[in-house]
Amino acid sequence: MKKILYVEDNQDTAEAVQIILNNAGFQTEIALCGKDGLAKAFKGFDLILLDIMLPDMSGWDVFTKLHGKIKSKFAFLSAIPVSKERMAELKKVGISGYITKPFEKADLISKVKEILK
Amino acid sequence: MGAIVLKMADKKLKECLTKFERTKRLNNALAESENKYKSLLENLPQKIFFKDKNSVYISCNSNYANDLKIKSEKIKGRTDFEFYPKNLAGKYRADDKKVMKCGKTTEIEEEYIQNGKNFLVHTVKVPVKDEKGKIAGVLGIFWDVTQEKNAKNILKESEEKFRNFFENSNDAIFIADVRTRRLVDCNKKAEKLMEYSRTKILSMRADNLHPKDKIKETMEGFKKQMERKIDSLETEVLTKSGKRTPVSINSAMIQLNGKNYGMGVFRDITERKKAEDELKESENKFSKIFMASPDMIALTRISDGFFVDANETIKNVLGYKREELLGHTVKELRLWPNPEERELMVRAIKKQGSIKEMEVHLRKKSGEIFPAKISVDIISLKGKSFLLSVAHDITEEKRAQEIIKKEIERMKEMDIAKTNFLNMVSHELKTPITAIFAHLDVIGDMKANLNEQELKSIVAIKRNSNNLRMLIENILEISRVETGRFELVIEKINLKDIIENVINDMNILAEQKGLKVVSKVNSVPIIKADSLRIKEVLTNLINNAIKFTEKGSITLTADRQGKSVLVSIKDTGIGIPEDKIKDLFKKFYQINPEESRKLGGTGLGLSISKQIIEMHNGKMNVESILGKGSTFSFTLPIKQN
Repeated sequence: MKKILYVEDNQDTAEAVQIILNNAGFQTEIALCGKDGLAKAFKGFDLILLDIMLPDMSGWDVFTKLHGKIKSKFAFLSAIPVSKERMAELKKVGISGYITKPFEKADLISKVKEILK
Repeated sequence: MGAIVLKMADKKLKECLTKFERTKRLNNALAESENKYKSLLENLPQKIFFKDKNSVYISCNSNYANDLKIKSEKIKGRTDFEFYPKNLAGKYRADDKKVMKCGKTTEIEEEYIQNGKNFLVHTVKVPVKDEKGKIAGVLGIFWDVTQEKNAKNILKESEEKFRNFFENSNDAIFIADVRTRRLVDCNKKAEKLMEYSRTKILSMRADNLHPKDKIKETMEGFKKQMERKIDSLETEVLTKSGKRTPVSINSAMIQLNGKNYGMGVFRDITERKKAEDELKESENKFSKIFMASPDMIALTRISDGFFVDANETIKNVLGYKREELLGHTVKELRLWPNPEERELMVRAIKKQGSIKEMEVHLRKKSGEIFPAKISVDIISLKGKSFLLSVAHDITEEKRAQEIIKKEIERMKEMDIAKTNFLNMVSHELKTPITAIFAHLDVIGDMKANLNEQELKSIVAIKRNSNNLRMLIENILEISRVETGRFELVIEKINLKDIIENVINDMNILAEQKGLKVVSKVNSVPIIKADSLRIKEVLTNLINNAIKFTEKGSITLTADRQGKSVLVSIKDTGIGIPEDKIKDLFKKFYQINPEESRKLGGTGLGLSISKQIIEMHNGKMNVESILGKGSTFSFTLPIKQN
């Protein structure tokens, strides 16, 4: 079973997404701020979903601190849509996916599956 | 008469005299015999005692009295209970009784205690009768058999041990007559090894156990082993099924009933041989890997880094030939530009046994210093410890890492720059919407447990949340346009592909109303535009067409028109009153607000679409006949300035 860490400051969203992903066959853990995310990140997750706007630090900060140190894949979640070119650039630096908020369940699951393929 | 009487008296006297003489002689003999008997009792090495019928001592020899630490004349009137523990004394008394009762001599092996030490004694108890033939007591003679018994036990035990070892040994054991080489005994393992029954094996000679080509050397090996000239003998046996099984043999000469026999202990070494072969193969492979590895591999002495072996890659990377490395130390070669790095590494290895992927710096023959990752293990060769180091040049890896690091920084900066008021508003507005959608999906997963009204309510919440989301998106977009923050990403796009993609998506919606969106796209050149935005405009226009068309069709055409491409979306819907056309592209304008609320429009779609087309230097146009249908069209220049 693939393990996912979801770093999201909105607890309502975090908990619902946890249920959705677990129902889809993943094992999901949540962290409610960047610091919490950093503390949990070394538990061997297959994917770390990072909300870009976290209260204590940005998703980018979390990513830079972990990049190259763990084997997990990373994906950003943001309210701001991303262009194809931007996505290509993100992939080059190690961001495997980008999910625009709000998201539909089917879209979220298919994107997560695609990243973990 | 007197003479007769005299004669008779004389005869009687003679008889009396004779009787007296006899008695006297007899008494002398008896005394002599009693003395002899007493002296015998006293001098016998055994312990001897007399007891009366109540097991009370009458007498004993001094040998026994010594044991009891009394004088022999003091034994009279005493019982075993005064000399021995209660249970032992009780047992002696019971034995006495048994002997007296059955009237027969009995031999017993029993426990005996002297000076607090336990002994095993052999006791003979004899019932003693009085002159009338009645049982009057018991005579006992006993002697120490402890050592004898122990020796017997040891012998028995050792025989048992040998039998046990012989039968249960994990090795096959054969015993053969040294002279005739005939096999005289074997164990179960031997039967298993040879696949023959014991009977069959005992009809064979030692030679028959081995394949023909091995007999000579095996028999010679046996001889040498018996003479202790060699320790181990490895050969093969030939089993019943014709299999040649490798064995190691240990043989020795043993004596059975005074005759010499050879005993051979055969161990099946099939597994060991296999492991040895595998090891050999693995060593071969390892040596190939060692030489062919793309990583630098070297074997060095721990103390000074003296090169014992190195592979080809080292030459390619460091520039030293193999002979320039081997026999030299890392210090001589000045391989480590920072010797403290090596010291640190050696310390880490000594502490934890190995290191993995440690970043260090090395110097090439040319003097060039480069970063490397090194993994090291301590290995033992002929009792000495060496370092097996595997290293690779990470110059490129480092460079790539640096580029990525810079790139990450740049993208982060870009995102920070984007943190303007509108994006903050967008984030703040979308956060609750995201939570609402996610929870609706959670409820959606529990559909089976909901009643009709609950489902209906959820659909209503979802529909309105969707409207709210669209409204937020559209307001944000309009704001971006109006504040000049709306940026196009212009690239070469294939309009035909984009149209087909959108039509595929929109047909799902159209089919729900029994409609179909068809496209007539002729040769459209590659144009420069923002693909996401054009997709948005197409989606918006087709969505409107589906919304306001009940029957007929929606047709999308695209054609080159001079220096532009013309795209039209024609429907067979309700059409637009002529006087309303001029307000159509105004923000929040709805021809029929009530209808729109039901259909879920924001009144911003057309306004945004028009702005997007105009930002591409194109034009948006609409023609409509009330009740017949509308045609929305836009142009896009092939080249952007």
